[in-house]
Amino acid sequence: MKFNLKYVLIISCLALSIISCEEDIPEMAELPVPNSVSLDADAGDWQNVMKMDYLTEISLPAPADVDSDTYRSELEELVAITVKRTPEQERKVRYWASGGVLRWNKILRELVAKYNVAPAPGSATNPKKPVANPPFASRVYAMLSVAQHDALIATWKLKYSVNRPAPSLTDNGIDVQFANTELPSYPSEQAVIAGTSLKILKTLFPLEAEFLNGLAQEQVNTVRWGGAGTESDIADGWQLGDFVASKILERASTDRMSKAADPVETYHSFFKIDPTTVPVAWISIASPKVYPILPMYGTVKTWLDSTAVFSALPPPPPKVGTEAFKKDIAYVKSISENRSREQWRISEFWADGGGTYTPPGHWNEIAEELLVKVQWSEVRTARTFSLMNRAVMDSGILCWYAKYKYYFPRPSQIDPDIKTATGIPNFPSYTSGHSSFSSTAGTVLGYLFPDQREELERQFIEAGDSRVYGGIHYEFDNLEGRNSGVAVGEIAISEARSDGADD
Amino acid sequence: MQTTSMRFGYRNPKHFYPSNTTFRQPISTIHVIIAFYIGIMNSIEHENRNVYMEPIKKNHFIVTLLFITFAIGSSYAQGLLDGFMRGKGQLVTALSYSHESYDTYFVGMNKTQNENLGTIKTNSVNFFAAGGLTDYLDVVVSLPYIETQATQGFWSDQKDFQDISLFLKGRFFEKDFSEKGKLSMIGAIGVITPLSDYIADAPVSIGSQSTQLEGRFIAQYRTALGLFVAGQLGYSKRGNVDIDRELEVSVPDAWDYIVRAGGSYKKLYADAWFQHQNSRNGSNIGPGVPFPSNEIDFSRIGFTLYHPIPKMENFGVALSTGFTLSGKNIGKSDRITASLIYNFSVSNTQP
Repeated sequence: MKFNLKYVLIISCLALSIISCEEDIPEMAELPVPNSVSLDADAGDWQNVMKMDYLTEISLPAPADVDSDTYRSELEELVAITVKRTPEQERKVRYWASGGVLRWNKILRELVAKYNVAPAPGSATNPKKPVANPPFASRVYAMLSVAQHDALIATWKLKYSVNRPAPSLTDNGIDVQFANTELPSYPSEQAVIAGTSLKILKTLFPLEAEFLNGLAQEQVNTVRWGGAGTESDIADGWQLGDFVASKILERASTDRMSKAADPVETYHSFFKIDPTTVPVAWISIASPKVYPILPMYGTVKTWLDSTAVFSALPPPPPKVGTEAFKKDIAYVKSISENRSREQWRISEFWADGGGTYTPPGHWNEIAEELLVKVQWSEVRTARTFSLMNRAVMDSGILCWYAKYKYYFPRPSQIDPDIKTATGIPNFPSYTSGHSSFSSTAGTVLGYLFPDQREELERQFIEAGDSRVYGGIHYEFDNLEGRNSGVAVGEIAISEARSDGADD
Repeated sequence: MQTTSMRFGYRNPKHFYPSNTTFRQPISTIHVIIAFYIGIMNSIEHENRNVYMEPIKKNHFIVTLLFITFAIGSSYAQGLLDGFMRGKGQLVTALSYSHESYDTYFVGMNKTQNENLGTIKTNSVNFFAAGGLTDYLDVVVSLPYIETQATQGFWSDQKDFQDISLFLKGRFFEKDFSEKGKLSMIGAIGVITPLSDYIADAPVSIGSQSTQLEGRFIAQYRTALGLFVAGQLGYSKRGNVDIDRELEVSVPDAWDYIVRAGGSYKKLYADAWFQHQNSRNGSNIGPGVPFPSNEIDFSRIGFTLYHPIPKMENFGVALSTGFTLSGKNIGKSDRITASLIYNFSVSNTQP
């Protein structure tokens, strides 16, 4: 019998070390708690999106005076809550204090990812379970951002007209988690954000109502736990947020989104798709064939001036068979046959397909990274998302209009040997949605973050190129999508210049 | 399955968590069939590659036999090792060609087919070498080149060098039961790491890009008549992968065991084997879910036959097959491998 002890030792030591080394993936990302550069005290005078006087319409009762008994008892309650704050409550206060607007944006992105799943073939649509495809997603991002934007402008107006100081400045028995700023506390901006975000999102994702309600309640609770606002700050804030959201939802109910899916195929006659206008028509090249995505989305109401937006409608694409067409399809084919690793990477990085935030959501993620660095006030943060997401939605509307007006085939429909690095979207090719969404988002963000303009431009150009690298778009899809997208971005910027925030 | 009690907001967007800790989970894996937008989100996780070789000593003449159950397109290489030692200075090398295909795969545990992929066909060439550093310690290396394609739809083919495997294998126990037989116990550790920057996160891919550390234990009993039975147990620690969409993805670790029985003679080697792998918690195939995070389980059987080439000293050929019986998040693939084997000695002390 032989027993080679040294091998036993070596092998068992190595085996142990293999099994014991745990890979570590950090559990949660902490965002910094912003120490706002500016409180944006004049934000109450900024132009809101809906051009409505919410405060007159809602007519909240005048809040109790700081010397009143009612308010005193509210302060005492807050003392009692804050002195017994638990570590878990502190963790949640820190989570929401990094920015309610940022947090809800992230929550929405995750919801979009969850709902960005195609239904099984032949299954009936379930209005409670929407498919969060990019056009749908861009509208939800816009609706949430506009509600927050408008609600916070009204909040700021009220804050600086009532001028109720932070509770701890009146009662120093309140154990605040974060030092109070000069921002007046009535109404609580966190409660406004909670009320408005909940209303929008639970309407759009009804199956998530309970989950979303839990988040909104927690956000409001952190106002109490952190000692940042009293019951009346919270209650009136919530009511205001909820009210503004109801106005946004009213608009949404008449924006023609309900007709976008077009199950009875009216789009052929609406866009006059026939052989005289479209010699080589798009067809679904999925197996089995799938009805195209939201054919009438191009007729949905825009946020920006629709005449201006539609003046950026791209010209007709080169006809199939012409020299210009041959040149571009040859380029796609050359990529298909000899795709570099870097082209693969770019294609995958920007694909944002099923189960992800979608391209509009990717740009919200990019905006988040920029916003975390600058640490703006809640109201300016909301304006950033609102400006970008409205423009991105409008850019998508324009792009979708072009897709069905020109009804142009994908490269692989013309040449099945063109192989792709990403899935082929089931709708016409011209123009590229990725180019449109991305160039608009990048252009708007470039205005808001001028020192990042060069990098943002590089990013939106790369996002558009990614679709050509993927083999699913011609270069003219990309370039015309980009041109239109930049133009829509410029329209948004010209409106932004006069909204009062950049004076 | 994700529930609404999950706290999306606390997660780091740059990381991806498999299974119950995942923050981007599919609503239903069934929906994978036509993922809007991407068109197809069906994964192809490839089969295990088993390169298996075996020398036996008979009288004073060393006959090194090798058998290869080499599954192509695999991300994982358990089964590379056998219960025999080469002997000091003895080397065996093999060049193999494998073909593997499947048109059915498991999304979670559900059998699925997809007209947008058709059949996934994989061809590969593998170089394998094993040599005895001492009579008790072998070094084993395997190096595959893989090409894979879908017969339908428009996904691009993939081809590249995949993962190199490097193992050290030591026999720490051997006991002769006089005439009856011999029991040996072997421990091994190895590293498996990508040789190229192939794409890990695509429906048609050649591997997961994960660097793996593997520990294995093998026990083998061989009778004097040449019949043997062997069992082995392995654990593979799989490193996180950075995928192109800038997520760091956790790749589930896996246990596996192999049971093998056969006969090993001077002019013939034959065996039958069964392998089962069970991954730790991971995700199911689904839209937006990075493929490397999938939890991959499977059960396979296979057969091997080896014969020396007449009149060509030290050369032999092997034919082997493998069939997937059941699985989770993997193709139900069948595989056939042909190998050319060359044995030689670099030692002057051959008995």
